[in-house]
Amino acid sequence: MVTIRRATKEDVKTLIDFFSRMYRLNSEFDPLLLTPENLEERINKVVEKSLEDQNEMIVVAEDQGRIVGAARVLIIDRIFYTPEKEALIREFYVHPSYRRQGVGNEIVNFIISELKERGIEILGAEFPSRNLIAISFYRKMGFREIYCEFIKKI
Amino acid sequence: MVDPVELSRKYEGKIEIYPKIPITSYNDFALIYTPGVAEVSKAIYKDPDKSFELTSRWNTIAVVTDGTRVLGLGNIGPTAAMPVMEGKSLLFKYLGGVDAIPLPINVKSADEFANVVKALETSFGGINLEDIESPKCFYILEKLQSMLNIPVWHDDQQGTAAAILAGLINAMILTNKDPKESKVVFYGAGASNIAAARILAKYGFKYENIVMIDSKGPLYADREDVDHLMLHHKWKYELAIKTNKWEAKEIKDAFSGADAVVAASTPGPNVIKKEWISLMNKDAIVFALANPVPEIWPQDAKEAGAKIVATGRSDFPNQVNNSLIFPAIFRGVLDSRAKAITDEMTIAASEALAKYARDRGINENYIIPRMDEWEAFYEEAAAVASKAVEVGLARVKKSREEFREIAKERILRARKIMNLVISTWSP
Repeated sequence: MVTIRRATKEDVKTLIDFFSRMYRLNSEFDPLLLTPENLEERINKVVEKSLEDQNEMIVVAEDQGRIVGAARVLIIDRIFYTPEKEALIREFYVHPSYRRQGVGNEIVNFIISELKERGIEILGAEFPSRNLIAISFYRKMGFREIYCEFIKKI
Repeated sequence: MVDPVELSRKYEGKIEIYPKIPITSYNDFALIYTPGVAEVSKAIYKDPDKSFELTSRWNTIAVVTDGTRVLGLGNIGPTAAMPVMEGKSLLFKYLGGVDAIPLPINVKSADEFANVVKALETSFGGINLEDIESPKCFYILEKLQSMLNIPVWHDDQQGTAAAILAGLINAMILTNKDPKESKVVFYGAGASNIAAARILAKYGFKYENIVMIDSKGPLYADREDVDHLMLHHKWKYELAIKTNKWEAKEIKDAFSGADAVVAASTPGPNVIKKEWISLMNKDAIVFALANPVPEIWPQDAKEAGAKIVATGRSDFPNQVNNSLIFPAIFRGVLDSRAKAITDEMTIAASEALAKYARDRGINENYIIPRMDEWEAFYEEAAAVASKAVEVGLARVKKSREEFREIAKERILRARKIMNLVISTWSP
């Protein structure tokens, strides 16, 4: 039985592991997503800051004391649109042995309920456009494409 | 020993095609070819399934390869793969009475491979895939199984897996081990071991009690490259998630307390260390299947505590070899005109093979029949054909006894004709 909760400082080690796995997986999709050697170090800084920041949220899925999934969400301004705030899932990782069991859905639903309490009405997700698994996952959860990011090495 | 190149030169290849309808008069030509043959074509046009009755399709399969992983030679391409496919075709005829056409094809991608084979479907009663690199071979097999209405089989996966299961069934009986409780280590995560893990799990072994070891060590869900596998080798990925409940990270941990090890990796000796075998449970079972030299010499494995050792070689006891399986599997599916070969049918072949050995009395040095125990092939073919009937995939429905007689008659006929050809004509 998996439970979802907000992350704490005790979870940092696992979060670094999970998010660095996610970024290494991203690098499989596109050569422009290669990761730096000190990836863990960088993630450590981001995660520690995130745990203190009101505009960020990290949630974890836990099964019998073991973290099996995690996501980090940023709350950002939409200066030129309404509603004026949106949340963005930037990191998302479910442990391989817990995939296809609904853990991802539970994490997203938990994030949505937390955001609703804060009056935030829009949730987005960022991932490599070649990640067909992520595309399928978010589509099934009712998300749709809104932006395109084009990139060129110069 | 005769030089194989000289032998091939002398006979100019290993197989040739002979007609089976007699020609006794000029009028026969009008029957076997035009105009009479048009009637046969019209009958098949009306009912395509008649091609299994009115042409040789009922007994003809294709042995298809792209030459990307030939024997121990690697990617030598389709042209150089031909001698191997011819040899395979000879074994199909001699051991199974099956007409097998060697068919190396010059294709690049897995989809191109599948499309070519799909286009050949109408000419054959079955497809035997051979010597294709991994993981492409898994994709091609699954794709063709979903596209074709005739059995598709990849011998390097399913044939070897079925022989492994047959040997393991008896080895476990002899050592009083229960498949449901036993820890099995697969050393090597190539085509045959990946298929064997799946077949064993269908038979009754438990995925969580299996540990797969590849060149990077044991597979487990947490391993660093598991996400990479998810994208590039989903079959290995599935096993990484399902197996290894202990999350053994080192080879020694994997062997520790194991009941059986099935090695299909690189030629030895000493690829599997004696110290690893000594970590296994009492009465350990060791299958060291690399050719030509097993991963560990049988004597070394026994010294380290193994009770039963099998290899891929005929000069040691307990030869686990897919030649014990593929001729009979195809005999069975052709006789029942099956639409597919399922894991259940594969397991039926393994069980029949194991039972054949048990009926003769198994012991440490005889857990699986030898290749010259011809009657094992009839039993296997009958088991496969009747399983095809049971699971609803057979176009011809007969009893197991009837299938056994048919298989026996057809295999003996093939052998008799071969002997006649060889005794009456020899260059």
